[in-house]
Amino acid sequence: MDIGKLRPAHIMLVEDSEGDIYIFKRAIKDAKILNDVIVCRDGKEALAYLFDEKNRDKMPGIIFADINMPMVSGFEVLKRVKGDPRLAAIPVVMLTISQEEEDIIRSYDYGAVSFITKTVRPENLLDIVSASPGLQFIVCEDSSRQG
Amino acid sequence: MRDARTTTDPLLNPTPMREDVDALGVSFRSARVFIVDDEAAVLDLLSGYIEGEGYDVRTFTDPLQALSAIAKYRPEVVLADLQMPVLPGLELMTRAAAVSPDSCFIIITAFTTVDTLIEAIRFGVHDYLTKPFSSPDAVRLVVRNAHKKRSLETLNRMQATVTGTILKLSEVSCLGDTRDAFFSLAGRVLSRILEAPTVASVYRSGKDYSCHVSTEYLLSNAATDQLLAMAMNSMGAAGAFARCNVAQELSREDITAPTVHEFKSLVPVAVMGLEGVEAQYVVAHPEAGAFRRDAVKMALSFARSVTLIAQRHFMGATHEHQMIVDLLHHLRDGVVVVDKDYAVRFVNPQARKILGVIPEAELSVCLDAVDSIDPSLAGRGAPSGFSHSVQKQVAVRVEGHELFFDVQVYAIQTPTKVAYRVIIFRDVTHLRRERSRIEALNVELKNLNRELTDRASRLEAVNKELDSFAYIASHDLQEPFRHIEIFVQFLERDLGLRQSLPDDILYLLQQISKNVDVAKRLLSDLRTLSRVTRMRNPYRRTSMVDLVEEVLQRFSDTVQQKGARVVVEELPEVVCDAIKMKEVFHNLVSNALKYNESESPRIAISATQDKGEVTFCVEDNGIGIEPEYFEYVFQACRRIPHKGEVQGSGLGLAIVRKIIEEHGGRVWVESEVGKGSRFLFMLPNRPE
Repeated sequence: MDIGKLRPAHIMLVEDSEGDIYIFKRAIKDAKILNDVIVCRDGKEALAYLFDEKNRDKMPGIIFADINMPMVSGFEVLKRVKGDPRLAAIPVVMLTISQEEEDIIRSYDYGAVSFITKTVRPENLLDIVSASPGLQFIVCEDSSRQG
Repeated sequence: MRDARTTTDPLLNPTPMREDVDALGVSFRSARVFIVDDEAAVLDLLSGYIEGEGYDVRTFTDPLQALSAIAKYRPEVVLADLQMPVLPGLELMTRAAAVSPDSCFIIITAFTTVDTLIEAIRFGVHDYLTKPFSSPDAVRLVVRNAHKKRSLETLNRMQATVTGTILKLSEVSCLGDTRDAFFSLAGRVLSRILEAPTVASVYRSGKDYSCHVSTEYLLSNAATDQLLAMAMNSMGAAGAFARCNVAQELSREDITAPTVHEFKSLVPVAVMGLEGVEAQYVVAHPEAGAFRRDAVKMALSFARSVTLIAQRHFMGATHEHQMIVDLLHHLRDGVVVVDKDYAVRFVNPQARKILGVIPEAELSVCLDAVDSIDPSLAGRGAPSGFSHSVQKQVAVRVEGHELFFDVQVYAIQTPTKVAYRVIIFRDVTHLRRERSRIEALNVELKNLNRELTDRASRLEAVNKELDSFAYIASHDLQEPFRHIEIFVQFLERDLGLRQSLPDDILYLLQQISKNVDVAKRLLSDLRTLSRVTRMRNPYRRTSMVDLVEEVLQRFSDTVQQKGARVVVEELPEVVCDAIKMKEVFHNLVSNALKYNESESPRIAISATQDKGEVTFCVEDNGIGIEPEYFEYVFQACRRIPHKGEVQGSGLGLAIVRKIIEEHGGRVWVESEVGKGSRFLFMLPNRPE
């Protein structure tokens, strides 16, 4: 894969919990990943961003979406992204605190690439991020990951 | 006869009886004395001697002629010559005794020897006279003695019959069904006493009369009528003759006597009841002067005894009647007796009061209803005399009070088919009031019950709310604690190396982490417990072998790591909530592995079946439990203080118990410290 052709990807986080937003950002930062993080406070905001023509050049390379959100849930975001040909290629990772089998099955049914149970180890996030194909991350060479 | 009706107590004032024999106007028969001798001179002499003694004397020179007369007239005394050419005296006597056993025999002889006398006595001769006769007085004395003897013998015999009959009559009632038998027996005995072949009897039964003629003759209608008319007249009931039933009873089939047109000897005998003549007999004989005075006397005396017995029966009945009337008077129910013509025959005081307030129309309805029932159908199987009844409740308003009466009308068939109706009024006002009070109480009780049910369901709702609150709380509180935990990690990282931190800050950080751990575990416990309560899964027939295998899969790593041996015996299929049952085995297997310090841990899972109940057993060779903790271990959030570093929620067995109890079963433990534990749970048989 020709990495040079790829633009450094934006990371979109759809999350209504302030604490989780901080934890996510902190995890990215601790991993020395410098990609932009687009934070949407709920599903509605995320959809507004994704379907806004003005943001066409700033589409995320990967979306992390919390399942349980008021109004528009993570599943809704996932469905709309996968239902739009222009956005369908964006990998979506579902975040949840639940371990319900049903949620996992639904996530994969709707086309999520991964499913992450929020744990006390935010490093898991980074493993997913780095494993996502076709994404370019800006990593500070001089810093090593700490955990 | 009429005066009998005025007597108040017949036992204290005996009904005058016609025991005065002469007042009967009957011509009596004299004692018969027959003399048989072939010498007419002797006959003349002897009849001359006893003339004036009052005997009916007849003389015979021909012994054969004498024999047939003896057979016919049965004389009291027979004098016969011992020496007669045609028929010697002793032989005549033998033959005469056969036809007239009661006759007393005297022989006449010219040659008296001891041998002759002895032989004569052997033949049953009573006395003897020697020719020539010593004196007329001697002859008279001999005859008189013989007659006396004969009378005494007859009297004794009759007395015995009479006594026996009286005893028998005392036992037979002259009331009801046995009435005819009573009077008929008395009539038969009368005819025997009087040695008469015919007796006419009339018994009173209610307003009717029952007539009966018993005879050895074939009677002409005129003769029968003569007898019955006489009996009826004596009874003072001549007018009733046309209504009575005449029954003629011929006691002999071989009737030789000619039809009798007129009876010349008649003895009327009455049996008195409390209200006059109850039975009248006429004993009849076609010949004039056929009855002896002493026999008639005895017949009258017998009738007197029968009268006393009958009166005693009637008296008893009267007492009984009075008792019933008294009872009816004091009864709380009103009683009215109405006859077939709707004439009121009896009313007790209570009924009189009630009749004053009950509308007549209501009663007519009841009476009509009872009359509309076909007695022949209704009476089937009913006790004797009792036919059928109709019941109705009547409400009446008296002086502003509402009264309720149960009106019951009975139709009663007497043996003579006269129907009575008995109306019974029962005041049920009190019962009605009581009933409505009970109904009111019932309504109150129902309301209370409803309130209780409401409260119970409200309580249940609150319980459910609490459960779901616990679930939501435990669920939602996980987030903040997770955040705190991560934030502490970040904080530690931001503060730099732990060694460089001041002791107190390090301590505080450690305390935060430790407390977060405790809180998280508690939340997890709470969550599991509330989930067990909340979740209801369908009961299905489940293979427990498969279920247990699935559970053991989860522990395969631990089993391998500990080098444990797990044995699963044959397990039956059970209808259960499979998801929860997995939880049960999960917890039991988890404990069996967790609390096991043996070098070669062993777990055995088995089941036994008994009368549809299945008992499962999870056995281990672990550390065991002390008996005082057998119950304690199943309580929520309890863990036995244990020195080892075994981690547990302290909730596993509580969850197990909750699930087993939800299945209608029970769980218990058998254990020995240091040897191992057996966790057993019983599940009842349950349809799919």
